[in-house]
Amino acid sequence: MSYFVFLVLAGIFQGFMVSLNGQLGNFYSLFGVCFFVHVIAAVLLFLYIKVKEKKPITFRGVPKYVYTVGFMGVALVSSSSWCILHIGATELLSLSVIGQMVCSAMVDHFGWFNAMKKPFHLKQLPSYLLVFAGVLIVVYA
Amino acid sequence: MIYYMVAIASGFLSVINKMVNVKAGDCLGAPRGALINYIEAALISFCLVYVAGNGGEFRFDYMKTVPLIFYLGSIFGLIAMIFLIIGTRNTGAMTSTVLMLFGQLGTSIALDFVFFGTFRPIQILGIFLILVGIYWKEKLRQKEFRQAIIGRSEDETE
Repeated sequence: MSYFVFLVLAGIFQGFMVSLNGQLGNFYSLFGVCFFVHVIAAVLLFLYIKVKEKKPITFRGVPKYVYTVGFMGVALVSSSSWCILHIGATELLSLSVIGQMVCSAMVDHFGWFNAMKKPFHLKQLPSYLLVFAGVLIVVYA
Repeated sequence: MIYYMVAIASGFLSVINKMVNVKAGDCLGAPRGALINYIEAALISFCLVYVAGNGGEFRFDYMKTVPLIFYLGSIFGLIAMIFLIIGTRNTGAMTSTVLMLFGQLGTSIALDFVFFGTFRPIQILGIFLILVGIYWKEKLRQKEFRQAIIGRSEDETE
């Protein structure tokens, strides 16, 4: 039971993170928001690795596409902060669920990133439509 | 309309980002995999602030005027990650997806009310449908996964 609480708390903290990043957009440009969000996390993580693991930090030996994560991080934080200021966190998160579901289905279907192939079946469609209906209610009702 | 499209696109991108982060974590270990993301993104956004001509916002006297709580987003993000790892390890992907989304959407409703003064009770029904839909989808996925494993082990015994 306590693990369920951990998961709900994880969601609550993520909700706080998205909303606070959005509020930072009232004071900084979108890229400024990105900078503070990432630099604070980088400093904390750097300290964690130094204290806990005490090993040198290197980034070698990864596929080249892994080096695009920074660009994706910037795109994600700036786009979500921009949207929150205009449509609010609830609508942003609900709409992003649609994007996540469609993208996950494509990753599973085509086996991108060496994921195990799990073809999309029509019997899954009603669950997608239910989520879509929920998002429509959140956004338009 | 543009905000809605960008919001959907950000969900799409977040899955790709997660997959690439997982790959980085496999090669470097989870903390270093996340660190490469944060350092790169901080450097790119730092350059973009100056390219966009907004370098003035890095003045210390300006930074001091922003309420401290708004800087804490990434700390909340790190705490969330720890809770997520602990919770998922002991419950499974389906439960973790649904419960985390429940916490996320519930908090966003509360914070939208705090920051923007907006609250529509009908949104709770919408969120309920989203959660049921996700639960249903994950349930189907688990069932297919189980059938695939059974099928594979039958092939191997033949």
